Amino acid sequence: MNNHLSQDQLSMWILGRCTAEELKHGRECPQCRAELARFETPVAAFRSVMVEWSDWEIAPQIEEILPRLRRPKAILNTSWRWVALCTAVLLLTAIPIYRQVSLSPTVDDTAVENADALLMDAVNAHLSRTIPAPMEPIMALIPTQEAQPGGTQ
Amino acid sequence: MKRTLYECMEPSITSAFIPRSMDDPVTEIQDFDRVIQFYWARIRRFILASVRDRDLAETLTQDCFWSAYRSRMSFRGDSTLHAWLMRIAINSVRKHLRNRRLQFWRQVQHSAVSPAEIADWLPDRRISPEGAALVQEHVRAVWSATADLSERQRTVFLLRFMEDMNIHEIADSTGLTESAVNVHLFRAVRAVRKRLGRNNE
Repeated sequence: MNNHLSQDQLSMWILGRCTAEELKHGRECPQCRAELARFETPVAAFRSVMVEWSDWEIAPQIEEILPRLRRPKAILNTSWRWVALCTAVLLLTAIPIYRQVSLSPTVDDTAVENADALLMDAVNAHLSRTIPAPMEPIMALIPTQEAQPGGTQ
Repeated sequence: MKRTLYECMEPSITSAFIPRSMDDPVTEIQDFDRVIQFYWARIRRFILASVRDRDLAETLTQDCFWSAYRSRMSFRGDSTLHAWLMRIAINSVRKHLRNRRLQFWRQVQHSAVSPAEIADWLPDRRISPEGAALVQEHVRAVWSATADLSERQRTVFLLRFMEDMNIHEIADSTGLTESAVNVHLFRAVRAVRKRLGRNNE
């Protein structure tokens, strides 16, 4: 192979997804080898360091983990916090609007109030009668005691 | 037939243990203790490289093993124990990262691991100062390069190049198809190479 490996071919070489010819070229061509080493060397160093570090870590015993893991969870997780926050904002905006709307009397409310007042007047008038309503014209014909001169004592 | 957790551990590990019954809770705890002893470092390493915060990595690792302990009876042995635990770890990390996007007021990580700190964990203490400086530079470069990857690309990259898992195991752990793993891995390698090349210039 005369041409060097392209950038994509180099990436495929690293992943082991290359043809036999590319594999051979990657091993033998100093330029492509250097290009591959530019990735492989730092990544190998990274892996060694991470593995070395984690090997120093002492894993806890299960008795140490389980009680700690049974700690009470946060009352609300993040998504529920957002829901609670949105609900609070909605309530804070909705309550004043609702109160404003409910406190202002509407035309319908006034009409109902007038009708109620008229009905109450009619009921009061009916209850304050001393004689039934059909008898009222007849009673008007009968002279009252105050109207009779020298009326009986 | 359902396999025990022991039977799904790597042969080099299981050979040292005598498989025991999982019916006795005391034995179960002891068995799971051995699972923790063997896999704790690997899982924590992966989580730390993913979230880059020491305290958070500790918490998520504990959560991971707690989840594994609770759902140990549902483990059918279809994959290796390592892949199963790694899957739980990946889900923990993903859940955390998803939540963190909403926690804009908690962006600052108090125990964040810096590239310089990572580079100080040198594998060979007998290395020369020049060699040590070079290794530190390499580690710093890869640590920074992987920070720029998307969550999925970083996950497959770490599983392949740090955990040395094969494509099939990565697919098992991530829940992706093997072809999807290959695509993410290719993009991750290309991005890291580009970043490393820029550092070398």
